[in-house]
Amino acid sequence: MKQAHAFLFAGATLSPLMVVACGSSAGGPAVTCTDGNIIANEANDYAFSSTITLPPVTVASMSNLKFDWSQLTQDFLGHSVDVATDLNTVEVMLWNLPLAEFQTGLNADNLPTHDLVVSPPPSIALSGSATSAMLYDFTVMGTPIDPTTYNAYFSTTTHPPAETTYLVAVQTGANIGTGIRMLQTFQLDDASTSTSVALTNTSTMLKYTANLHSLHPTGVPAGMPALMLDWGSLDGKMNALGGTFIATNIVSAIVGHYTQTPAQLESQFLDLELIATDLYRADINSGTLLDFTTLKDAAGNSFPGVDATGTWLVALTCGSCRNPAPWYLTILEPTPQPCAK
Amino acid sequence: MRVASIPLALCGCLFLVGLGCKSSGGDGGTGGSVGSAGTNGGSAGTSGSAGTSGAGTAGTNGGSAGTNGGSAGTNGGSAGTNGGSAGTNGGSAGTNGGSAGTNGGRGGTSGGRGGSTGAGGTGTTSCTFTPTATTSSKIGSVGIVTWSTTLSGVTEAHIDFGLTTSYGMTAPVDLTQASYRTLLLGMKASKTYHYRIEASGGSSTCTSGDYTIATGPQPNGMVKPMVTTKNKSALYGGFLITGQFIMNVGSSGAPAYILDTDGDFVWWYNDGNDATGVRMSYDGKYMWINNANVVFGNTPDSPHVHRVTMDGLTDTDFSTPFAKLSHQITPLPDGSVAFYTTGANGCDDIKLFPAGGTPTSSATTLVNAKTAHGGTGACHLNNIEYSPSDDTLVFSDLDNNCLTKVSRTTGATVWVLNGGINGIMSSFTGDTWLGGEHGFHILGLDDFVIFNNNSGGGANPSGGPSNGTGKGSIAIEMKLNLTAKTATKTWSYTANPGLTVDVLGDVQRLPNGNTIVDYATLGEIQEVDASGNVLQDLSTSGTNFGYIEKRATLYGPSPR
Repeated sequence: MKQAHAFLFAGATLSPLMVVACGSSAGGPAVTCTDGNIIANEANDYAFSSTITLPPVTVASMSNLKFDWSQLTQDFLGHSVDVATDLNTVEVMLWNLPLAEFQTGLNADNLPTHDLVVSPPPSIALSGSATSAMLYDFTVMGTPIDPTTYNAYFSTTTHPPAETTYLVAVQTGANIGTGIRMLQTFQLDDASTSTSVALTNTSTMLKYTANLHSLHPTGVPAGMPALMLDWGSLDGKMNALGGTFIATNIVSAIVGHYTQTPAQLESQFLDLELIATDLYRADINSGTLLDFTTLKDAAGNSFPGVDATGTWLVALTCGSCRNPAPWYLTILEPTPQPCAK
Repeated sequence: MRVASIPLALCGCLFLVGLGCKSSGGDGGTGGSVGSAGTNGGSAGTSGSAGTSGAGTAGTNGGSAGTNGGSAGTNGGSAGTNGGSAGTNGGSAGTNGGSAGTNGGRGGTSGGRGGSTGAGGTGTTSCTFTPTATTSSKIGSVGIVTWSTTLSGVTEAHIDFGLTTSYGMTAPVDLTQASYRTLLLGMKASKTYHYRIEASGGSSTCTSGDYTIATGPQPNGMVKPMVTTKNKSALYGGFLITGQFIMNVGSSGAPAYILDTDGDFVWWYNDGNDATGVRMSYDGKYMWINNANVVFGNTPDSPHVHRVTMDGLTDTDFSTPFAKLSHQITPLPDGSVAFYTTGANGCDDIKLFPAGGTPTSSATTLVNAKTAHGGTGACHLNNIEYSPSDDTLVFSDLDNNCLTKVSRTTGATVWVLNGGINGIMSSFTGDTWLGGEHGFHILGLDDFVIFNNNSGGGANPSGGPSNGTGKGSIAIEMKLNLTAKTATKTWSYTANPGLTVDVLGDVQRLPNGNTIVDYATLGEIQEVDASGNVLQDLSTSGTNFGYIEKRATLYGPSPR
């Protein structure tokens, strides 16, 4: 579902960070003690799964459809959306897949580009505070498309409903397929007289589970900023989402500090970047090593090392993946040194 | 520093048996001592004078002749009379050197010199190399080798390199470069490569020992296409140059890149935009990278044209003189660049950026497409290629379903192929195609392979003609009879199941007869044989491809 994630999660801000209230060693999985040179391990990784459901609406075929997002107040991650200021582009996609198959591919991150019938998809740049757009006004890279052409693609004859998935997406930013905030699927029916497709807060339904309680926290020296995390040994193994961990796909690292417990963070997982009390980031341009001294917060402050307050999380995110859920996320806990043999 | 082996070193004159080394006669010498076979000798000399009256004691026990050496010189002097028989002191020629001449030992005019102690041995005394190798700080897979040698008068040199000591790839050395700076192109990331330097001067050739260089990592986040190889032995191999068309390029752009036959990245460069057109300069020193920049209606003109040295260390922004550029460019042999821009009359202009031009230079308009093909409607050009044999440019016009050939110097129309709409009359009768076209490859004055989009069903979201079937884009080969003015479709390939690309698409015939077909915006590239069997398939998820260029080597001129 690469394409899927591309369109669903891409651009969404889902980050990894949380705080363990006070040591998960109490009754939880054992802490993996390190001297600050951390070797990432599957046992220390969290687990994440998600399912996206795209209930379709039925509209008339071969008609100038109206796409309306005026009622949208939240994106599919549950974050607020101001339709007047947050949305920049609308695109319409036609997939050569039945809806069920499309959803399966989306959730499995397995939607090959060649199943996208018109690529790049017709789109329209939003100006001002527009909250609706007409299909015939969409262009392909700025080239207008005549109604006859649109009708050929929005025809139940040329694209039988049982074999086709249509969807409209609104997004932040101009790069098509990136930063999608909401999706609405629709099916064509020659008998339908409806020509309106509304994007609402329930157009896309995302269910997820994030398991932070089964991982083994990583023990590190308290107050030590010069930590190192090496994920090279995870290459080819399973990532937190159940796919293959490709070490060179990691492009950024985040460390966050939270007042919440890991259990609380599981239920607020989509808000990790929003609820962190401290958040440090670093780009990973190449290699498989994070030097924590390169982490900076928004004000340019360096990562100070972990303490015993709240929960500290470190997460590694995949740059080319459409699902922004981290491939690796673990809890950092201050641990007495040297580690017990 | 390694010592090079050089058997017939220094012109082979160290060897008494070496043919072709002139010298004056002398007193008979003492027979040489035993020399072991040399290696890597230079070519045997020619036209050595026969010696006479040699009195020296023949050398004995010379090393056996090397194998694979250059052939013995002709007209080698015959052994001198009275002279000792050919001395073999010098150890015979090396394994790669000229084979020792038999009976050719120079006698010497005054008695063949037995020769001094043979210098043959391993032939390792005459030439050394001092190389320094690093990788580019911008592209970790690009090796940069500088070197020097004790060989004087170097007239040719190259560096063999590869994953093993069998090497397999060769980088020519530009002898005008300071310290013979040479790029090793085509290496995978994060691997150890072997290399050796071979230099020639006069009749001598030196080969260095084996060295290694470790390539750096590729940037994180680059996703290798899924590679499905069905018949590896039938693949052409070589390197695929392409980039990512606009979809999902993100705010930081997408890389232009080169894949090897395994689908591994061997070169990459991100200039901050999409990489729809990616072509090496004709001299192979630069990569030209351009974005799609389809300017239509109110779409802002935002050309992005960069010329990057192949080591990635120098990036020159040429966007200004390429204003209103569309899609793709073609570097020409003289260093100029052909391209096309959105024209004021609804038809694109064919333009030339001058050889040696700078970012402040101006491009000149050669001809407007409407003038060239005589159409009455709008135009949308999407590919331009150069035909060196008649110094012409051929461009593809999607809106008008045709290729048009014009003189590069005058812009005069040579012919129009296909068309049939908007008043455009083909110069040829016979076979045609429908549904638009994008990339094409000039195989000769009368032979072309063309990516026929075959858009159909009354619809073509790219705005081109929609009179195809819409059931799969087609790679077609069209042969022209330039005398009878006929066009014949001699070959075609359609993917199964069909892949219909309305936007973009490219095709290239390979020297072994295979064809590579680029379903660009569908994120699919196939290499097929002449019978249409798919040999290898590259596919993407969430991204797509721009135009393509397949090359056997990353050195030298473009194959298309």
